[in-house]
Amino acid sequence: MKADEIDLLVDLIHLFKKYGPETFKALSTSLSSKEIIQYFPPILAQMAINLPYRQKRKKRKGHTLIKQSSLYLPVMLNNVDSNIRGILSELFQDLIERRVLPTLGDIREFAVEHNLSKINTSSRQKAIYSLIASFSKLPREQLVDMINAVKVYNKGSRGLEDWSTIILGKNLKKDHGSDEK
Amino acid sequence: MAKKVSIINMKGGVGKSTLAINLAWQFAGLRKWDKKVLVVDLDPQFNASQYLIGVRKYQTIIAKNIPTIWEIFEQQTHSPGKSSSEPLDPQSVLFNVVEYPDGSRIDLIPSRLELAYSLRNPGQKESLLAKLIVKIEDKYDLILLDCAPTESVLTTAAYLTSDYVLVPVKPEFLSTIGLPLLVRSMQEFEEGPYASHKLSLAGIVFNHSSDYIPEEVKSKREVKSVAAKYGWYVFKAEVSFSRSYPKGAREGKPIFSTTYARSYQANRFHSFAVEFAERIDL
Repeated sequence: MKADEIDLLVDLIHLFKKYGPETFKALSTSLSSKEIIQYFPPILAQMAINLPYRQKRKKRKGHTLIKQSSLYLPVMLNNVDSNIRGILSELFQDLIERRVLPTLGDIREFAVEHNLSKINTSSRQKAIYSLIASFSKLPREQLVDMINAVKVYNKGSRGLEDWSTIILGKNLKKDHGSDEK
Repeated sequence: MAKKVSIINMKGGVGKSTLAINLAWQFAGLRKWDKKVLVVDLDPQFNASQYLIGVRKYQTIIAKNIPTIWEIFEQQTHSPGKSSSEPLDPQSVLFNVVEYPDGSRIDLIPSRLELAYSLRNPGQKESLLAKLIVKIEDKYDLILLDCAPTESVLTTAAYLTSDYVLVPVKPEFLSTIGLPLLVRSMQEFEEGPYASHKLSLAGIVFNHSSDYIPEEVKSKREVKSVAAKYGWYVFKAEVSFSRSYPKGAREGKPIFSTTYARSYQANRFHSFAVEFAERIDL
């Protein structure tokens, strides 16, 4: 056994300890699917270009992480219909580049308000994965509605005009004695 | 059991809502405390609700008829649509603002303009809030009541619900006069039908303080002098004037999350929060 191979084995043992046997087993099942074959070589090639990525990560941590996550997305969606995969990849880019749901709080709130799996992580990147994972389980029509909801979702203006609309609106509950309540 | 604190001053514009919301965020959002906090918006102007949840969520509350503080005060109202008094589910008025992974959270009992109507017919309403809070207080470490700046049934309701009163005072002449008005209001409460209810003055905090303006220095000296005479506690830590507070309110952020807040401002607020926590044994 060569020194490099021993290093790799040690790294794998560390990773085994970190992720646990179940994750390794699940990954081996994913890697054995036919569809992964078309995605995996370009991912490996891209990673090889980025090597040694750990040094780059020290310099530009955020940028490298985004690159990495873009690479892993196809693996995550390898069992998803190709059309939906395309839609989700587009959404993923919008999320990563903060064009939609720009904060972790926004992602969490969106998930709660739309009855998706609750997101408890304190990492925005992990929250994005959780959201994409929830979306990937939705039927196509519901997914399209949900993505439209993401695009128009914002915390709402907190400006005077919006509050004026509420305050000057005519939907005030009447004084008691009314049958409204 | 939660510590229940009314933030009150008979003078408007002294920063009650901003103080209440920033305290809530300090205790729920900083790892040092990790508290479960409930904010009760007891002001018909609903500034605390505006600050905490923004337009979209507030519209949801209105559109879905989610109960607010108004429903608490009007729950015993008989109206043509209601055959009898229907008890309000205490859980239904709690609107979650934020929940952190460690379990700390901020909930809100929002207010609405119609609360002003409740003031027109105040009969027998003053104890309704306290009765409801008793049923839910075990869920929280701290309950902050953001009060309206006028003496009314809402003030009595706040006193009956609270263990402590926190009085923000803006160090300027007219604002300081709100202080004796408030203490008189507390005295009248203690001498009235609810004399057995224990209510303590947690203290007076100088809010919007700048340290160097002569009028402020004079006002602070006067307040400290009166406080010493009557035995009122004045917080050593002061909440300084900062443009980050109104900007934070616009963006729905606490002082420690605003990108433009100088750490000096955030640290001063934190010092006050520490002293406040000690005072009420939080």
